[in-house]
Amino acid sequence: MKIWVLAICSVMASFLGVQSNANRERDFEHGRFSVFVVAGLLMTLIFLLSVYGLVQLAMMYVQ
Amino acid sequence: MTKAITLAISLIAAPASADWQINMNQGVTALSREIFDLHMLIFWICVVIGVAVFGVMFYSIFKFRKSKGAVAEHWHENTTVEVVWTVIPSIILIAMAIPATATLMDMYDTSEADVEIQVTGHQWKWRYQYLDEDIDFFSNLATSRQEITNEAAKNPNYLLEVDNPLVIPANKKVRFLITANDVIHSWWVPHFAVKKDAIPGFINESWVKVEEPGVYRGQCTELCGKDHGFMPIVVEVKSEADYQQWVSDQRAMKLAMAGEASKEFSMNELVAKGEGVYNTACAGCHQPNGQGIPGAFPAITGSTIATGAIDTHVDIIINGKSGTAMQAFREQLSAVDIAAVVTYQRNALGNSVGDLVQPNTIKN
Repeated sequence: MKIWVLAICSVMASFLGVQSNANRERDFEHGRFSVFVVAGLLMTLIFLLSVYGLVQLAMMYVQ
Repeated sequence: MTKAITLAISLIAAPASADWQINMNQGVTALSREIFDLHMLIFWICVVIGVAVFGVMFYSIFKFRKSKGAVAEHWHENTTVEVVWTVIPSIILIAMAIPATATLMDMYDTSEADVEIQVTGHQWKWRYQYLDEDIDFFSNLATSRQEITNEAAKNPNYLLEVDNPLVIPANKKVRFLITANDVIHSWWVPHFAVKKDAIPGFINESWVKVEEPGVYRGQCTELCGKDHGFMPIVVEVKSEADYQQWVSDQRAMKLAMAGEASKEFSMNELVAKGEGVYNTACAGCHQPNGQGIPGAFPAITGSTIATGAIDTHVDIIINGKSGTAMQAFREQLSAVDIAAVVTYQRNALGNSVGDLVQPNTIKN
């Protein structure tokens, strides 16, 4: 479970473009590639859905 | 709050723009003023950010200069600072996107229009078709060739005047469907805050609702060939009553033109009329003296078409010549105009074939 939480945190950090060196080293030593791929895809989907939701909200607000 | 800030900003900006304007103008529609306010709001946000960032930078450079013994600190990262300078710009961008989105939604809302006009860019003129009325005309540059070639003084509306302006009613929502016939043009009227690409095969939409009658001028703003600078836009905004009068005048004119097409003309009448048509529709390429531009546009003087069979001559004007810059004038010129310009080209510009063609024999 912890490995997933850490991977999601690292993916969020990558979305922001900021990551500490300590976390980077931790990810490369203990992380699993497949977990990062799944976490990355999942977070991308959540990001796309939230952009879509925000646009829908804006459209509702204007009309 | 936003309104108060933009109003204050506009008041500061207004006196400066009166005599030496480099800023965009506020325009004459509610939407153009909204766009101007948005532009000024974002401009001042950028100014504040610029002053703050460069202020801190220049202060740091000066205060911690080497000659005063400053020593650079060596460190690898500071996650807090990096997060702060990433999150703050993101918040600013999102905050700017909120009013920008509201304005964009207004700009794209072309629904419930009172008048719909198709605007088509041609090399190098505009065509306006009123979709609800039977009105369809071309709008050509009206500035004289003498002014362009510096043989006459330039008038204040130099290169910003046309023979047939676009006419729209005041206080009505007018929707424009903008496209092009040959290459990409762009229909731009600064006072309406409308600048839309006119692309062959695509239809872009825009709209205006002008409060005050008046004359507003614009230009093609997408480089579209030799006479790109010679296809201005003039929009005459009329009161509702004047607009209705104009519409009925246009209908009457159309009927009169239809009647003219069956009339028999004399050689002199056709040549006189043809000169005007030539100067508007042909002289841009074939030149006012009919000599053309060698290697680019053929001469009319002594040309095998203008001195050969008259049917071929009429045909090339109606249908154009594919693969060349010679466009089809079928929709641009009336039967009378075509008869006149063919007769003119055959009996002027150094040609003297001696024949003429009557409008009633032209089937375009």
